[in-house]
Parts: sequence; structure tokens; C-alpha cells
Amino acid sequence: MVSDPVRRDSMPLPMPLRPTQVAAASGRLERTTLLDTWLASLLPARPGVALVAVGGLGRREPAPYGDLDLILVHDELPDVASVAQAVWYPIWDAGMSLDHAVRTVAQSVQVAEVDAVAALGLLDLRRVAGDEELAQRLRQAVAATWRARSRTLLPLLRAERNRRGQLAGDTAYLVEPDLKEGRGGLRDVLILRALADAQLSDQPGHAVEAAYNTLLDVRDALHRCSQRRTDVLVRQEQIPVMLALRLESEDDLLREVSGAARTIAFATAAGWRRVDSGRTTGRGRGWWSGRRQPVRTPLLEGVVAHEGEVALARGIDPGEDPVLPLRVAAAAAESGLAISPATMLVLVDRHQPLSDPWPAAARSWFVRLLAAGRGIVDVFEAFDQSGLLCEYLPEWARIRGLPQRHPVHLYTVDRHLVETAVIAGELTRRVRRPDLLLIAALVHDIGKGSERDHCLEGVEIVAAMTGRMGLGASEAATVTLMVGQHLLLPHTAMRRDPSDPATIGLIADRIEGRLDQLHLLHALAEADARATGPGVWSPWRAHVIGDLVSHVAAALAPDVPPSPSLGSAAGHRPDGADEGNTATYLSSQGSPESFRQIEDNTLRVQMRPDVDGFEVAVDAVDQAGLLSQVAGVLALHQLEIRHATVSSIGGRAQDVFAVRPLFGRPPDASLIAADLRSSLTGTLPLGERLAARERAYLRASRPAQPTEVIWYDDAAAEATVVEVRAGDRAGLLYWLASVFDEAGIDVISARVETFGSDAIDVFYLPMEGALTEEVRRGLSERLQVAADQ
Amino acid sequence: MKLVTGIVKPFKLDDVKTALELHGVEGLTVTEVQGYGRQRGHTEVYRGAEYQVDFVPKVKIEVLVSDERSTAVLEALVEAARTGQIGDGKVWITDIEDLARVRTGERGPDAI
Repeated sequence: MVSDPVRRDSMPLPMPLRPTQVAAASGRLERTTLLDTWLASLLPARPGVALVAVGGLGRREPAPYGDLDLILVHDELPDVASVAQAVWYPIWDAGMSLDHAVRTVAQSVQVAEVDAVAALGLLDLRRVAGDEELAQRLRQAVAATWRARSRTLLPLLRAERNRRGQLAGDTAYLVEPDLKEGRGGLRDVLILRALADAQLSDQPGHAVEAAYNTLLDVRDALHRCSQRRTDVLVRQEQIPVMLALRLESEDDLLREVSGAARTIAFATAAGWRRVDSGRTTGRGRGWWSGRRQPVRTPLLEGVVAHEGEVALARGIDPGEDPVLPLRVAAAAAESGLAISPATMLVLVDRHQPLSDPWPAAARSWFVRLLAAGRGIVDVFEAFDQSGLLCEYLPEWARIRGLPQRHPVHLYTVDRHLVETAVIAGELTRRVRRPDLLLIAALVHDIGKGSERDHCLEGVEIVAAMTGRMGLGASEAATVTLMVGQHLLLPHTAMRRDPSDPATIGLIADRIEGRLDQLHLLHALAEADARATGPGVWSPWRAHVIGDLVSHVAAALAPDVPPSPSLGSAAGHRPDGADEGNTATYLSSQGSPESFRQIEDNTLRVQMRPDVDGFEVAVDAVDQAGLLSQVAGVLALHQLEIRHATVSSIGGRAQDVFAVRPLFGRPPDASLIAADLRSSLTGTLPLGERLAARERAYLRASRPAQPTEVIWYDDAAAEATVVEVRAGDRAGLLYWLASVFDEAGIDVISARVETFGSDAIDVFYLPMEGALTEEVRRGLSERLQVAADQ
Repeated sequence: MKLVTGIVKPFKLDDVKTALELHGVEGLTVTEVQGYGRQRGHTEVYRGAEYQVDFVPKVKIEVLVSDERSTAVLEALVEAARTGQIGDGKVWITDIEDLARVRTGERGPDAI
């Protein structure tokens, strides 16, 4: 409307109210009363007009320096302009920020029908003065519109919310959090209430409302301290706000904000998922809309995708499988789906605690979780909220919500650690032990929060953690070294001459002269810096640190892959601490019945349980292509190869595979042997069958890293060694070994290991013959194609 | 007033800072820069791959000083940054016409 700037002389001038008076009022209710009384005095006594407040004042929680959101609602009043001027001018004169509108009920409904943000605001409307019946009519009309139009309005509201949330970031994890617009901020609670108003989810629970009040308290204190309207808790205001709230430290303040925002963000994510599942199933839209048969897609053993969430398969009892929560976590992170709240509750109530040390299966699922990429952020949040995270990693409580004071840090320590693991998951091809990189990334700053140097403190804490996780002694030592030395490369690169032999000697000494540990530290330094904040890992810094690494690498002995040897695959697994477990397990199972075997002159297949699945031993007359055929048959039977050693002695191939069934029980050894015979005689089209299966195979969508093929000439006395570092998937070993079959190259022996979602396969090839540079280049290319197809 | 600017090796920054503090320098600006001088970059070998480095990372240090202290600060900077190896960098002095401290509005040498 066009306002007439001329004030009507006949109207009495109300007493002005200054913003400072509002700000000085001690509490939200007191401010509400003060503003209500004053605003009521501005509205001329007329029938058919009401002054309603929306926003903070509508909810009786005006911020000390907040906006006034007011609507003058009228019943087609011809001289409404003059009434509006009588109200708006004193507010402007008082120097308050005013968001105003003059509308009839019908006009308000029209706005609410198309503008999701305005509709959300109108849900909070409250009459301040004037015609009560009119205000009531508006309230009912708006509520009815919201319920009726929520289907079209919600996507708009969500898009707008996502846009603002993206700009403001995560309130829980930012060192300068946005209390209102950040994800997990005040705005999210208003949306949760609106979802409940649209009857799409329950009203926010007590925890969410308490969290909301915490953020309101902080925001009010922030307004008072900064004496202006702002929602971002910047560093310079943190001490005054902390004092105003009678907290002990700035860290306590940020922890309060972080805890509240996490509660809100978690509830908000769950609320939107309710909306989504209601839309897909018809639930929440009335019983008449019918229910479709729910589709359950298997993700991992005992874990399914159901209505866009991760849930337990039918008949699965968490009380019988201590590792189940970690498998659920890995499935959720890999699929990018959230864990259903009901499943989370069942897991929390009924899960079995992990033994100390963890069983091998727990460790391998944990690493697979860490390797899953961006999806782990939400999974860690869900496990943190449920209390499971601190149960599995009690040391996590030290750094939970712990703010970081250095200006380059964007996130609290806990989120920084998760971010570092996410980025480390993109760098796993650079190292031979992706599992150790991922674990070290997750715990490298665990020593923060005490007065001591956090690297030193971390070394002590990590010793307990790696012990509980059941890492072998050498693995634990490497993780501990990485935690203790995670600043070694960046600090040295900035302070010492990288070409100085003394500098090289210092680094070599700290990493025990091991190139593999240098590569691990280098990858950790990059992941740490990239997870810290934008611009920290600048090309400049990458260059300075890379320069140091290349100088040190040139001075160290080459890093050759470990050689395969005969015996149990479990015995060769990297975490050698399991050997003891294996023995105990087998002796407890003990009886020959646990071995199922078939035997004839040419081929013998044995299968027996091991600590994390089954061990399959194949003994056969050595022949070209045997390795690829065995690997292919195992993949065809949905057995994931975790480790394998393949050797040939006296004309007989002796291959040992540690496998894990993708789902359910493994097939009988006789079936594997029968298929193996068929494939060796050419009657089973393995390649075709596997390709078809792979097309249907559901697997993580993580950022692709290029497959690395590395040749070693001096790694073995009588063999050329080639190492392939690739993303793990069903049939990988079949496709890689087939490359050698097709090239007519016999694989003397091989060693296969999987770490999370990475596979590191080492093949020993005969030295004689023509492995020229050109042949190698051709093989490398074909191996890369085979791994990436 | 003079501006002393130095381009030095990154790992020499701490030494330079200490030396300048000893000469009473209270503030300085550091920028991560890349470039090359007479050595025209160099060739590096990392993880088996040889690659040409066109631009070498350096840090640029800028210090505002009074006219009479500029030579001493330049000399201190040169001394602290020297390794005797190729690529040690350069230091130069430029005249400053005027200067203002933003917070207080002070002008000229008072703003240093």
C-alpha cells in the first residue's frame, strides 16, 4: 500500500519506547509485555481491525534488538491507511526495525498459499491489540491453508531452508555459529513445529524445546552484549556472552550451543524423513490413500534399505550379533541413507557390547564405515546422539563439541576429526594401509582439550584406543606414530631447509626410516589441512610439504609390498593379533565336522569358519588362469574376498582365501568346487555371469580415486612385482587376474588385502620373458580399465 | 618512510621474524607467493615421476619502517634469510609517500 505521511492531528501521541528500553528488559516475557502494551496503545480503538504480531514477538520471545514483525489485519476497512500510519510511524520514530504489512484475512491467505516462508511466519501469529474475532479468523484460516497446501509449500520451504542453511553452515560445528539460520539453528525448530502443524510429524519433544531455549538465551545475550541485531556468535562477543550467561569459559558456551544445535539438527533431519516417507507411502495423508507394499532392498547382511532409511532385516536380533550396529553404520554411510530412528532405538536397547579387544569383524566393519566418504558425517551424528559412539570410543567424549580457538579452524574438534576421515577416504590410494590412514585421521586430534601438547597427549590416549580396537602391535605403533607426528611434515616444511641432510635425517628418524609411514603422514597432513577450513591446503602449502616429502622419500629405502607365503590367509592378515583369536576359535569349534570338503585327483576345496567369515582353501594342479577362475567363482557365490594368498608349490596351486558372504550363509564347498570345475573346462561363462551380477550390485557411491598400478623390480629375487591399489568390489580379483591370463602371463603368486573399501592386490610375475616397459605400460592400462570398469 | 619487501624461502620465515623483532620491528605482513628467479624453477622426482616445477613457493615479507632504520632492517632480513643456496630470494626498499593507521587516523611516521 502507499502510505500517507501525514499524521492525523486528532490522534494522541503515545509515549515513545526506545529500543534500549526493550533491550534492558530482563526476560523474553517482560519484553513481550513491554512491547505489547506499547503497541496496543498505538492502535486506534476501531472495530474490524487488529494488530497481530508474527515472528519473535508472535511467539512471545522478542530478541532484545530484534525486528518487529507486525500485520495490521482488517475487514475491508476503507481508511485502513490512516490506521496503519498511526501504528507504523511511532515505531519508526522510536528507531525500531519494522517488518510490516496491512492485509485482509483473504489477502493473508493468498500470501500463505504461495509464499512458504511467509506461511511459516503466519503460523506464529498472535493478537496484540484490536478485534479478537478477526484475529481468531485469520489464525484459523492460516492454519487451514497450511494443512491444505503443505504438499506444495513444503518443498519450497525446504529449498529455501537448504539455501540458507548452506550459506550459514552447521550451527553445531562452527567456531562462529549462526544461531538462527545455521543448520540446527532456531529456524529449524520453527519448521519442526510447522511440520507438526501440518500433521506430518509429531510436535518437537522436550529435548528439542530445551535446546531451542538454550539457543534463545545465547541469542538474547548476544544482542545485549553487541547492542545490535545479529545472530552470528562471533569470536569477539564470545567472552561477554559467556560472562552474561554465567558460564565458566568460552568453550563451555560453544559446547552449550553445539549440544543444542546437534539435538535440533538431528530432530530436523528425522522430521524431514518422516515427511518423505509419508509422501512415498501415503502415510500421514489419511488411511484412504492406501499403503503400498514396503520394498526392502538388502544392503549388507541383516541390513536393508526401507522407505529411504536403513533398517534391520526381518528377524534380525541385535542381541545375537555384537557387530550389527557397526554393519548398520557402514550400510548407512555407503548408501547415503539415514538410519531409521526405530532401528536406532532397537540397536541402543538391544545391542551387545563389543568385547575388549574388538573382534576382527568389528574392526573391519569400522574401517569400512570410515572409508565410506561423506556419508559418515550423518552416521557419526546418529551414533553420537544415541550414545553408541562414546560407548565404542569412550575417548570421544573428551573432544565432543570442543571448540577450536585458532582462526583457521572452521569446525569443533569432533567434527574436524570426522571431516578428516572423510577426506582421508579420498587419499587411500596413496598408501599401502588405507585402514591405518583412516583410523589415524579419525583420532589424530583426540589429545586436544588439555593443557599439554595435544600430539603428546594423543599418543597416550590412542594407545588405549588401538588396544581396544584390537590392532596388532605394529599397526598400533604406526597409528600412534601418526597421531604423535601428525604435525611433523607441515611444521618442518615451514621451518627447516628441505634439502638439508639434517632435516631429511630428522624426518627419517621420526618415521623410523619407513617410506610407508612417510606416505601415511603425508596423506594425513593433507587430509587434516583440507578438513580444517577453506584455503588451508593451498597449492602453495601442498608444494612446500610435497617438496619436503620428495626429499625424504629419495633418501629412504624403497617401500616394497609384503610377500605372499603359504598358510592360512587369516594368519597373513595385516592385523596379526588375530592369529591368537583364530586358534582359540577353531579349537573351540574343534571338530572335523566344521570342515566341509570335497576332494578328487585334481581339485580340493575346503571351507571352515574363521574370525570374520570363512576361509576357503583351494588345492589344485597348477594351471594357467586358475587364480582368476577361483576368484570369479567365489565372487559368483557372493563371497567377498577380504584377504588371499596364492602360491604354487611342486606343480600344485595352494590358494587360501579369507571370505565373507555378502548375505546369509556361504554356499557349500562342493558347490564352489563344482562351479570351479565347470569354469576350468569352459562350460561356465564366468565373465558374463559376473558382469550381470555387478550390474545389480549396490555399492557405495564414493568419490572415485584413480586406480594405482605400481611396478617393483627389486621387491623379490625371482619375480617382477606389480601392486594394484583399487576400489574394492565383487569380482575385482577375477577381472585383474584375467588381464594376466589374456596376456599369457602366469601369476606365480599373489597377495590380496582389503581395507575398508580399498583393495590392494600384489601379483608376482615371472622375470623371464618380455616384461619390457612397453608391456608394462600396456598391462598397467588394462589393469586400470579392469579395476575401474 | 620506507617499505622493506623480502622474498625468501618459506622455512626461513621464523628466522626472519626473530631477526626483525630484535631490530624493533613490531608488525609485518606475510604472503604465500610463488615465482622463479634466475634458476627458472627446477626438476623434481617424486614417487617415480619426474616433473618440472615452474614456480617455486616462497614467502613475501613486507615491513614498514622509518627512513633511518630501513637499511638496518634490510640487512637483518638478508642475514636471516640467507642459506647460501640457489633461490635464497631478494630484498628491496621502496619509498612510501604517506601512511595512515586505520583505527586512530594517525598519519605519517606516527602510524608505523
